[in-house]
Formats: sequence, C-alpha cells, structure tokens
Amino acid sequence: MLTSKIENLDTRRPIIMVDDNETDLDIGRRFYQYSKLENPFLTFSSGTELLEHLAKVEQGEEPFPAVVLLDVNMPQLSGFETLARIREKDVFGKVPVVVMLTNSDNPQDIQRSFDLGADGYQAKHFEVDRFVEFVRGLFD
Amino acid sequence: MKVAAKIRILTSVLALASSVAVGLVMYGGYRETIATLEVDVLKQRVDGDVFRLKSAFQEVSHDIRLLVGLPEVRGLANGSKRSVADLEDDLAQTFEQLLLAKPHYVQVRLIGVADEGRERVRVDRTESGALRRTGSELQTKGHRDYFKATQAKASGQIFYSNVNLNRENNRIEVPYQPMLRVAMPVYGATDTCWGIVIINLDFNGFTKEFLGESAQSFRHFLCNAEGDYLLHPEEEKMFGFDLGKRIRIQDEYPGFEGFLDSSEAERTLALKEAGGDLGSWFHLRKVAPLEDGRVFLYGVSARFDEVISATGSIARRTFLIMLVLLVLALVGAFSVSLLITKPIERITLASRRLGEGKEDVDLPVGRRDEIGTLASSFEEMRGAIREQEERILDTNQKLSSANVDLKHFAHIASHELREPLTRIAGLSSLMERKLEGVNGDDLGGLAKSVKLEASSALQQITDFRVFSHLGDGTSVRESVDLRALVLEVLKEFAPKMEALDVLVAVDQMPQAEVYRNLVRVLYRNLVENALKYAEGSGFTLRLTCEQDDSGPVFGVFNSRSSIPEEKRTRIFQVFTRFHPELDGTGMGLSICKRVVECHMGKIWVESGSDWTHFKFTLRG
Repeated sequence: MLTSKIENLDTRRPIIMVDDNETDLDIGRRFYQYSKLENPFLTFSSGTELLEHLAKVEQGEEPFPAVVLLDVNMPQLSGFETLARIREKDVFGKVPVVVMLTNSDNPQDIQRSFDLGADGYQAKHFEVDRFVEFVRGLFD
Repeated sequence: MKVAAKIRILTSVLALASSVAVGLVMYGGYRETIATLEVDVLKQRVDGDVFRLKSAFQEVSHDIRLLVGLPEVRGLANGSKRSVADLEDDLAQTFEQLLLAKPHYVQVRLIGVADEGRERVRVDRTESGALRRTGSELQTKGHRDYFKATQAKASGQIFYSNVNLNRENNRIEVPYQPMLRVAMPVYGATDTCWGIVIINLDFNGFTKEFLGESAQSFRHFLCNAEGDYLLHPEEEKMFGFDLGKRIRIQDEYPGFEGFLDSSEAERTLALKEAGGDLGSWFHLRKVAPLEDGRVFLYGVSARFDEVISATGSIARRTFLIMLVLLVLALVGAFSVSLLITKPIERITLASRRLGEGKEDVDLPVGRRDEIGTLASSFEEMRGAIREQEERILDTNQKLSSANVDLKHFAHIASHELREPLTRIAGLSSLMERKLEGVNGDDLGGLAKSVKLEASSALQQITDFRVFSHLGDGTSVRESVDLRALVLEVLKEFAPKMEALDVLVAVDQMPQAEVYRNLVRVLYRNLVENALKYAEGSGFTLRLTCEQDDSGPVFGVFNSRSSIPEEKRTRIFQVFTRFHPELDGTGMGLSICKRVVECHMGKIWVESGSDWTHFKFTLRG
C-alpha cells in the first residue's frame, strides 16, 4: 500500500528489496519474475548494504532506485533505523520506501513507519498473484 | 454516633437518674420522719387535752356527789332537828362558795319534787359574784326535761344534759351561752326521790379552763357524737344544730367521713393547705369522759410553720446537692469516655497510617487492659498483613514474570512462527505455479495443499495475536460510523457471498465510540461464522440493529443455521468447535466475546430450527 504512485516509470531504475533472510529475498526475486516488469530487481541482506549502495547512487555510480521494499525486522540495523538514515540525506528524501511488515495489524509499527517518512507499508506476501498485484500496483 | 458521645450520654443519664433518685430518697425520708414527728407531737397534745377533759368532768361529778351528800341536803330530805330555813341558808352559803371557787359554774340549785318541782335553794353567778335567789325568784321546774330525767335516775347516778345553748322561757338566751347541766337525784328515807341537786356549767368557760394556754398554731375542736361542733376556733360554727343550721366536722373535713360510725378510735388527716401538704395535720379521737359513757369527738389541728419553711430550705438544699452530684457525674463521664476512647483513637490513627502505607505507627501495646489486648491483636494483625502483602508481592512478581513469558510466547507464536510460515506459503505458491501444466503429475496438487495448510496456520496465528492483544490497552476508542464499517467488512466477503447467493441486508446503525479495529474483528468473525455454518445457499444474512431500553442491540442474523440450546453458552469459550469438519481455529467467538467485554457489553445467541441470531451490545 503506497500513499502515492511512483511517478517516474523509467525502467532503468531498480526495485530494491532489503531483507536479512536469504529465502525471503529469493522468494521476492522469484515472485518478481511473474510481474513481467522490466526494472531490475536488486536485493540487499542488510540496511548497511543498502546504505552503501545508496552512497554509490549519490555519486552517480548507480541509478536512482524506483522503490525500496524494506524489511523491518533485521539484526544490527533495523528497517526503521535504515529508513531514518535514508531520510537523513536530502537527496534520498524522495526515494519511495515501502516498509515490509511480518504482521500488518500492528498500528504502532505502521504509525512509526509513517513518522520516519515511509511512503507505505505492506504485509509480506505468501502468494505469487498477490505480490504481482502489489508490485504492479506501485506503478499503475 | 461516636462511642465517646454514647458513653457520655449514657453516663450523664445514669448520673442524672442517680442524683434524682438520691435527692428523692433524701427528701422523701426527711418528709416521712418529719411527718411522724409532727403526728406524734399532735397525738401527745390530744392525749394531754383528753386527760384534762376527763379530769374536769370528773371534778364536776365529784362536786355534784359532794353536794348531794351534804348534811344540809340529807337533813332537808330526811327531816332534821334543825329548821328548814337554817338548813337552806347553810346550803346557800355552800353553793355560793362553790360558785366563787369554780368560775365556770353558772348556777347551783336544790330543787324539790314537792310543789311541782320548786327550787328550794338557788344561787346564780352575777357580775359581782354569787347571788342567792329567794321568794318569788324561785321557780317551779317539775316540767323541765332535765328535772324528769334526773328524777328517774337511781340513787348515786348522775345525769348529764346535752350541751346546748341556754334557753330562758323556751328562747335561746342572747348572748349565746353554751350550757351543760349536771344533776343528781336526792333520795329520802323512804327510798323515794325527794328532789335533785343541779349545777349549770358555762361550757365555754369549762373548755377554756381545761385547755389552758395553747400555742396559736393549735386549733381545738369538740363535737358531739353526731359531729356537731361544740367547740370550734370560729365561734359562728358552734351549736349550729341549735340555731337551725348544722355544721358538722365531717362536712368541713371530708377526710373524717365514715369515722364517726366506724370502730376506729382515732384518725389523722394530712391537711392540704396553702404552703404545701407537709406540716399541717388534724388528729381526731373518740372520747367518753362522762360516767354515762356518752361519746364526744375531740380533735386538734396543727400547722407546723417552721417545719414548712424548713422543708422548703431542705428541698433547695437537696436540689443543690443533686446539681453538684450531676456536675461531678458529668465530669466523671467525660473523663471515663476520654479514658476509653483516647487509646481507641490512637489505634484508629494507627490503622489509618497503616492504610496509607506508613510503618511508623504508635500502638498502646504496653497496656494491661482490654485496650492493650486490642492493640496487641492489632499489632499481630499488622504483622500478618505485612506477611500477606509480601506473599502477594512475591506472587505478583511470579505472575508478572509468567505474564512476560506468556507474552514472549505469544510474540514467538505470532511473529517468529509467522515468518517461516509465510516463507513456506510463498515457496509452495511458487512450486504450485512452476508445476502448473506438468501433465500427469500430482506435485502441483501437493504444492497447493502445502500452501493451503500454511495459509490456515497463518490465519490461526493472526487470530491468536488478536486474542492475546485484546484488552491490553493498546487501542483507543474513536467515533466510528458503524454502518460504514460493517459495509467494509462485507466487502471482504463479497466473492463468497456471491458464490453462496446470499441475500444481504444491513439495518441503520448509529455513530459510536468504539475500538475500530476490534469491532472490525468482531463483525468479521460473526459474518465469517454465518457464512461458514449456514447450510446450502440462497439464505439471508442480516446485520441488525435494534433499540431496547438501555441502548442499541447489534446482531448478525442468518436464516440457515441452528445452534442447540445446550451449546449456546459454551460456544463463546475459547477453542470450542462444534463443526470440526469445517475450517476454523475455535477462537472466533471467544474473540468476539472479548471484544464485546472490552466495550462493557454483552454477547449472546438466539437460535431456532433454521436460524441463528448473534446479538451484542457495545457500551461507553
């Protein structure tokens, strides 16, 4: 669920998924294949890796991301902390970030996500069709 | 009312009662003693008077006997050598001496039977002394009653007339002269009555003589046997019977009514006069001072003025003593109540401080009385409470630690388990998709089953999460358009309802202050239940809202299921399932019950042979 649609439909822009669980990343990658979208699908296994990547983006070495799907429950740097770091830099102020929650019915987590500058929140998917619907929905 | 006030009032009442009782006993005892003394004094006075009255009458009887026995009288009756004239002269001299000696003798006479009862010797009292009547002054008295009565007496017997006003020629003499005639027959040698000797006695003078000097407070009364006054301090009341207007003692003093005819010898009356009823008495006695045994009533009334005034002062003094006693008793009552309530107040204060959680309390445990025992018990109780408190604290700690464990478990169950399950579901979803179109292979079906089971487990975890978070205070109430919320929930079930061909109806519903998420869960569960347990298709699902006395009653009705009566209460218990063959966690209705309870409401179910209506209330 996103508060506003992603404006730039440039297919070079990657969709980034951050999750400490490799299986989740794998599932994400595989689900994404069914979406038929052309954007690259990048995965990172920690918030630190994402921040390193974004540093490269800042220096023009990597393309600006289309959207970041950020897992909340991660060791070391949690999803919330990572989001806070992203929003610290003006240049990434406009990167759409969707917070991925294990349980989508926790109002406190949802509120915290928005407070930190998330553009949306979404429960993790366990069905191909639903995921496809979700990802396509971000751009349609 | 406080105990101290009760003790004070009770003691004061007791003190008042005792002082009044003491005062009354004192005053009553004093009065009784005084009354006995007064009556004794009065009786002694009457004793003395009656003695003198009898002596005075005896003296008259003695005088008449003396006169009848004189040699001159004997000579005249029996014949003598001396001449009649000499004898009569000597007798007249004796009569004159007697009159001079006895100031209340008015007349002394010798009357012969012969010549129609002619007076033979007669001496009258005059202002200058005694005067002998002679010649034509001597009268015939044979017709007079006293003469006839005396003549009829035997030798030596005395006749006493009634006491009445003197009459001359059948007319009452004025000024009134009360008169008593005492006479004796004189018998001659032939034992026939020769004549009589008679003394006329001034009754007033006579009574004055025997009464002598008397204190002013004493009043003397003499009555005949009928009660007619012969002597009264007010002279106009005497001899009323002679003047045609009887005044009798029983008329003036009704207290003596019946005394005359009774066998009583004496009676004492307390006279209720001005100044109180104490100190004024009337003692009346029956007396027979004459030889003929005739009865008179003699009485004395007395007023003890000094006693009356003394009684007033005694009463005042008694009242003063009562007052002093009362004041002492009140002071005593106050002190006693303080003595009792002070330590109780200390204990009360101590208990209050204990209640406030303060430990430094002051208890009078050192006392050896009941208060000390109470304080000791209180001290013991304090110890016991402290122990209990520690035990409760300990238990509370264990409980909260258990609760933390439980929450941790709930977290693991809902969160940690959810993650791998989500992955399994995701992976099986991928497998299902990959195996699509692989002919003759059942792997696709198996992958689908794995996905369904994983989805079911995820749903159970979701329910469990909702259940464990209900009522933990993390939600807040907000104003919710219930009908809109219900329509949203229904939208979630739209495909299923369409498939089952369900006819849906939603009543008008109010805006309400509720926990939005919880109410959503409530409706979701009830609608899901209705769709799950209704048999077949083409039934009605109605979301109801009825108004009763205490507010709206909401409900979810379906026309195609039934719940037996004996199960209608149990279905709200957690993990209760009546249709194990159908999907469900067994927590749906217990979640509903918790949600309603969080809203201070009630939930219940009504059901017929082919319908079921869950109803609930949501209160502020």
